Amino acid sequence: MDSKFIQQFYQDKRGETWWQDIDPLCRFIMCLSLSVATFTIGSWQMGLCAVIFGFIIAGCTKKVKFYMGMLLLVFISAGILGAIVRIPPHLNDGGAIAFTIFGVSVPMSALMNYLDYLLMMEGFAGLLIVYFLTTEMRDICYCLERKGMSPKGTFLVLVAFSMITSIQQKLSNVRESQSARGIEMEGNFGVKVKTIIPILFPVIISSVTSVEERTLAMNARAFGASRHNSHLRNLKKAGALDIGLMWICVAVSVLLIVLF
Amino acid sequence: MEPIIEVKNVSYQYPLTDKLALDNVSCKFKQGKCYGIVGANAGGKTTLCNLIRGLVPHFYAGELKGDAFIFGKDVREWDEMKLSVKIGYVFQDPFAQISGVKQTVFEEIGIGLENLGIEHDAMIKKIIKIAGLLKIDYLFERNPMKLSGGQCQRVAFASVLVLDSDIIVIDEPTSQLDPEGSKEVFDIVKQLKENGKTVIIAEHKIDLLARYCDEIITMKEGKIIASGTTKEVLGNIALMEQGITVPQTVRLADKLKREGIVLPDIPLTREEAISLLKERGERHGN
Amino acid sequence: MAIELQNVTFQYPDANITALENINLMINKGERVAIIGQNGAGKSTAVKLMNNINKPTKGTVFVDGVDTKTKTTAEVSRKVGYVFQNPNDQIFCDDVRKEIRYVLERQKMPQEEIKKRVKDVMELTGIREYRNTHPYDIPLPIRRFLTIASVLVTDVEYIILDEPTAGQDMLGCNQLAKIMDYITAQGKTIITISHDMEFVAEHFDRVVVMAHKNVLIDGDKNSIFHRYDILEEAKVRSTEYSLIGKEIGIKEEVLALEELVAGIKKQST
Repeated sequence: MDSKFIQQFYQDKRGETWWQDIDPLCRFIMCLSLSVATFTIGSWQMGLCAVIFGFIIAGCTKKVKFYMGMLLLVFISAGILGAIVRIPPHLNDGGAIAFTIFGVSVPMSALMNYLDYLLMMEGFAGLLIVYFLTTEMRDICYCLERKGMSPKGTFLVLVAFSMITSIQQKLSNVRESQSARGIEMEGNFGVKVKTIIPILFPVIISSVTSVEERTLAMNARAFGASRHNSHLRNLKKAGALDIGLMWICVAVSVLLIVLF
Repeated sequence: MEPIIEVKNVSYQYPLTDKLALDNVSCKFKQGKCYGIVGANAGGKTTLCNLIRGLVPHFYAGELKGDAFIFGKDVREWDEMKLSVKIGYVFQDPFAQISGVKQTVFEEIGIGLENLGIEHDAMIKKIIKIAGLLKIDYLFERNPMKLSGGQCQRVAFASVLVLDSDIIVIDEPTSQLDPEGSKEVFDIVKQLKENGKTVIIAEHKIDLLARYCDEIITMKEGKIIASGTTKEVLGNIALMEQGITVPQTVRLADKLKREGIVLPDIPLTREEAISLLKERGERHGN
Repeated sequence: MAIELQNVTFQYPDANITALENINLMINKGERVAIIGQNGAGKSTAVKLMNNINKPTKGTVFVDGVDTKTKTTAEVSRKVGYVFQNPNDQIFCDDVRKEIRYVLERQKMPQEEIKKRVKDVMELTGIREYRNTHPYDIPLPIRRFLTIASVLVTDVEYIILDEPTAGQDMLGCNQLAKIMDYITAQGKTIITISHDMEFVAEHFDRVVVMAHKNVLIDGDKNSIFHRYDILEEAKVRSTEYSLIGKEIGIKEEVLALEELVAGIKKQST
């Protein structure tokens, strides 16, 4: 009698939540179409709606903390860039003054322009971020293979992404071994940064050089021997609901672009 | 019986090196036998394994002189992909063989089967069977990147065994394993042999090779310095002068001989030594 | 002057697995101790407590009388060196000499002193010919000597060798024995984990057998290697010669070849 763990391989994998149960490629097109609409329309209202939509998805999939963290990074970078490209050209616009800073009066129109940009970026990036936060790379690759992408290509994508984990793991091992050689690794954030920097580049290089060994190992597992791989883990095929939702999002995006 | 692998006067140098990794090496391998390759580190064991598997010259460039025939065809003419299916290879470094793209050991073992396009249910059955053989079914749900050396080694072995190749080349499969684990690996090697597979093992654990191998090839500085049946090669104490260990029972027989106690045969295993010593004891009325 | 584990229990924080349960072990300065046991018995976990890589969940670890909980891993590791089982976990420089020098340079040691120490340790470990080579271009067993060199160069008091003979040929084992003799001559302590019983019997005086997350038995090698019942419980074996001696009825304790031969000669007379 096969264990529960093995039994799951006999069934198509379902997503843990309603969002993750939608076909990964359909989900991607949904997010992409809405984020293109957000970018094209460029208004703070559309941006805010996109951010809220992202929050709903992140909330359902228990990824709110990560989502907020990524949004914060976007906020900082877009905030700085927006302050440079959106405010100065509108400083001489007439109308009500929103606020004065360092003796410079910032008109309402400049502020609104800035907010449009900031929230547009948050919405645009946020939708793509929430997609990648809630979708495993291997599921994306599985769907691409189903659409005809070569198994070699998808494997290379997966290996590239797994390099991140591999580098993290190697970094952790090297830090532990450096600690075991008497180099202080424990301490506040400053100490940690100071100790990571000298080893970061060599660790990345050594992770890359270990690709040769991994290539040989995959070679020993008949990598590329067949044009059509089979899969232990199968995802359910995109159903009418998945495709329907996808087209609704595309239609809504097109409509919004046309209207606004 | 015709050999399935034949190496004729092969010399090989890795790119950007100035030393021959293989120096005029000739040997043959027959189907259904187990061969041990022994010798000091950097003596050419791994390079010979790479040649048999076709990594030399397909993966490692460099100058290859002489000929190597796999199933009657020159290794240079073989399609590398087809050879990877015919000849399984388990590498020395267990950690480097984990793909990094699978989240469970179960899926990690199945990578080769996926690459071959094997039918879904058949894949599951094969994985369960091989994992049971190697006693790693308890690891199915574990992350392959978080295994110990011994666990990694068994998982790597399983993921090659599952391909059911005719020839399996194994480079030091037991370096990370405890004695029980090592014995289990060699028991599997014995089973493979009984199923008609050809197994070629590069190893340092001479006592285990003495027990399980039909023939031994000893290498030093890229040359084959001795080859033949296990008894012929490992029963020769003179190998020690070449820096190659012989089984402890052979050393025992040699030392006894120098003390005036001559055993009727050279024991290769503990059981043989005990049997010979007991027989001798009975004959001398002990 | 000793390393002491006092009623130590260790649980892996992210896996909720108890790897060691209420273990007591003391290793005095200058000793040569081998820890043997099946894979998963807790050997690596126990030795990683000794240099503070692992911190005890319960109980205390003392190194020369100091509670390791009051120190960082680096502080303890300046006394207790650990050579990892997988050299690739330890190596990250692109050149053998740089790898060995790395820690000394971080400690801001004078260049002349560094040069001398690096040269001496490369001679001792037999890796001088690889001094300008990339570590990943040297064979794995020889890479192990590089990691040993990198730890020895820091002049620690206690050295832990995790499976030092794995993948080593006869020359490698002889080199290892030479290194260990040098360490002992300096009055330092060697702790090893090994599956090579012959190597343990030849080079270590004291053997600690681990099983079921604890120490099963601890004593001198002669007494341990003849406790066949305990060794079987721990799923390890005695030496080949000892097992032969037992089967053919030699009454004296046999570990090494000479002892077995002497026993057989005596039996014959």
